[in-house]
Amino acid sequence: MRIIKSTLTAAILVAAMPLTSHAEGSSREFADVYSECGLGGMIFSGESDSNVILAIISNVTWDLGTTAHSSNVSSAENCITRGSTSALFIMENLPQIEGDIAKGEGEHLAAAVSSFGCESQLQSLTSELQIKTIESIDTGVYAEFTELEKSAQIFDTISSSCTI
Amino acid sequence: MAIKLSLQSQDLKMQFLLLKYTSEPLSPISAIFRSLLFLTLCLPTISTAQEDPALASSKYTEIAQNPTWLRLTHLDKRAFGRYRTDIQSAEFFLSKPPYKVQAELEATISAFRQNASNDNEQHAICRFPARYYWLKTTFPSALGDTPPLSICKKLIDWPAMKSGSALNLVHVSGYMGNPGSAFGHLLLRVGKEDNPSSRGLLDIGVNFGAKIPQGENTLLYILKGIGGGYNSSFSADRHYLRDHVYAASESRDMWAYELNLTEEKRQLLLLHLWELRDTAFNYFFLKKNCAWRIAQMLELVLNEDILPEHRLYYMPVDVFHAIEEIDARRNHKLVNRITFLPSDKRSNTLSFGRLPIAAQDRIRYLISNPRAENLDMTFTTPSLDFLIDYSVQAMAKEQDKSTVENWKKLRQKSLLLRLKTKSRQAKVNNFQLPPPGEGLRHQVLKLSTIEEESGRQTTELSFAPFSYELLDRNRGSLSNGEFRGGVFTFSNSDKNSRLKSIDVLKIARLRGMTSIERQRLDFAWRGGLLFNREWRTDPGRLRPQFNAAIGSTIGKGKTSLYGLLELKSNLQNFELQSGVVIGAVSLPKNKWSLSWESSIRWDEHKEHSLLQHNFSTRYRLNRAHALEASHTRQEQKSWKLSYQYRW
Repeated sequence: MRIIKSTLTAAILVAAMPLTSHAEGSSREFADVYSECGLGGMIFSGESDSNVILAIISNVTWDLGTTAHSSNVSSAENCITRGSTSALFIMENLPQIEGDIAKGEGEHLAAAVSSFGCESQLQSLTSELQIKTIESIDTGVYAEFTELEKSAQIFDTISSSCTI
Repeated sequence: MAIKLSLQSQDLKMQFLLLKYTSEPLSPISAIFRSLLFLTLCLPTISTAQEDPALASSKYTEIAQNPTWLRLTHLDKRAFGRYRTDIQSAEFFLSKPPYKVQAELEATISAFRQNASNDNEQHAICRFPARYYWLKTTFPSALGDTPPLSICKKLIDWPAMKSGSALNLVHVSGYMGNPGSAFGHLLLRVGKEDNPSSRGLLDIGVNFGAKIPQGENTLLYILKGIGGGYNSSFSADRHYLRDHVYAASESRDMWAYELNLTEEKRQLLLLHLWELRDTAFNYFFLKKNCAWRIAQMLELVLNEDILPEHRLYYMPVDVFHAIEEIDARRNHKLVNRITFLPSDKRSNTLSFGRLPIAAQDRIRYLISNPRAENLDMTFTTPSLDFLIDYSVQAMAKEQDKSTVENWKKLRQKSLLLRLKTKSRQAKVNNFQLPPPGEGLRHQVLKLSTIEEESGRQTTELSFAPFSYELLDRNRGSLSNGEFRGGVFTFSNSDKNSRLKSIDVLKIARLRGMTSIERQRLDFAWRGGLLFNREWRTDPGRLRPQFNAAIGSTIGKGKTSLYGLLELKSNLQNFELQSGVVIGAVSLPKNKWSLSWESSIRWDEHKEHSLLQHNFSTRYRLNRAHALEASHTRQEQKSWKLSYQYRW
């Protein structure tokens, strides 16, 4: 049930955000990365155990692009350079990153920001993420957010605010 | 001042060969030399075209016998000019079996000289870049006219080659949940030097492990693991996935040893890992395991033998002992820094311990009644921080769906309250567990003198090829436990010398960690198979015995208490003894530890009971020497004083 819900949410999310062509990874939106790289197929394909994810990432890290054809990744080479690393990291470490945002610091948040190459803006990005999260909580939408939507909010906030 | 030579050529994509010098300032002459080296690698046809490609046979022999070539080809020299290898994949060799170093060298050089085709990835240079790199830098005349390494696009694009220059050896502490992990695990982490995370979350983790079929029977797993029934290989993946498994799911502490290697050595190691990526090895849990393979990598780049040829086992901690020996011998630090990486459970326990008692009580109440309405504004920032971290752990292990939902709501409220405090809590991170390399060695020779109440004096000498004892700080291997195997004890009393006992195997887990949840007990157990002469109904004869015990343990600070129900059996006539055991282990100081145990045992007819008390204390003089004193009260009192030598 949860998988169906996540897949539907993902489909709505992708449909709601028209794909735009960006030159660099840091300015791409989560929906772009999500659809282009087939991350939904990876994470929410129904084989949600970590081995599936591990296998895909192993493909990416060892072979980078060639063996990825067999694992729902449309173009791993394109993805790895254009934001999929950050998207995967955020999705895979969401509870820890969420906690770090609330606390104002933490290793997982620092790593997520670093994956965009925005280490120097860690403090301002943290404040930005805190404001966005408070807004979502205050308006009541955060409680209804799926993990995918929470990941998207974090990804898009960093991606749009990082000026590197 | 660090000198960084970096050719920003995206076309050539030769970043990994551009020799980013980050260690010491280079003299102008060295800089020129290294620049020339770089040019040689990038544009090999220019520098080697004038060399005579036909090598004299003596030159081949010289190169083939070079220790680095032997290490690169994983061929061990045996008697009568034969070689053996642990590698199972025929694709790793370019010559035909039976493999010989010189034939392999000739085949390699010949393959390197082939022209590049459309499918460059299949070219020998791309399949064996470490061989190419080493030959090119050490024996440039041997190669002749060859394509450059820049034809290997996949290798150049491998993130490990791009990610910077930090290489860490990560020691993962022992894990009793899996027999194969009891003595810890070792892996490599490749990442940026200016890593924003001490845990290297964005690094690439290079792991060596056996390929175990899913749902493998435990007994089969042990037998095949020891007997070489599995293939194994290196794999590379995002390190945060492994960090999560070890730190969160398995509650294992880690230590990261940042290696101090020159850029050339780091390149050689990474290139060799690349050429081993699809290569299957024989796997033997006791010896040819993760530690062995990673030590082989170190042997390659350090150019010296560190692996023991004639030993039955090799463990992750042995690699660190070897590094210390090399450091001492070379007067050069192989490790820049060691970072302790606590497990989530340990981090949470430490955070909890820093809270005031009243806050701890309120949190304990919340943990047993995880409802959002029980959380209010009066909770302080450190309490909220603790709850945010703890809730992840609590939700992961909770089975009941409604409790998980309650935890989600509680966590959500903790996040909101914490966000609204907008304060940044000063990070307290001063806790360090000593690294595994600082622990005691595990081969033990022990000399003891025993004095009994009756006045009888006995001298004992025991040898243990492998001994982790409860009083040891195991430094990452087999934490909270004991493991001893093949211990022979000889005694001499009243001019009679004899073999007193053989401990075939003794294994125990009796120490617990301080628990956040009140009255939370850890599972404790111990077991053993031994031969000794102490059996009440028939003393004096050496007979096989078996014992097993289960119970609970609870940790409080540096002390653990345990209680066990124990069963002993004399395997010769199958007489049984059952008993109750209580005890404590405390490690109050770095060098000092003590234990106490009391037991009462009955034989199977409950006709005789045996009450026994033992108190032991140990003082570690240094990594090789320790003194131990113990007092035992059984049918009569005895005192024992021992000296231990470890290597």
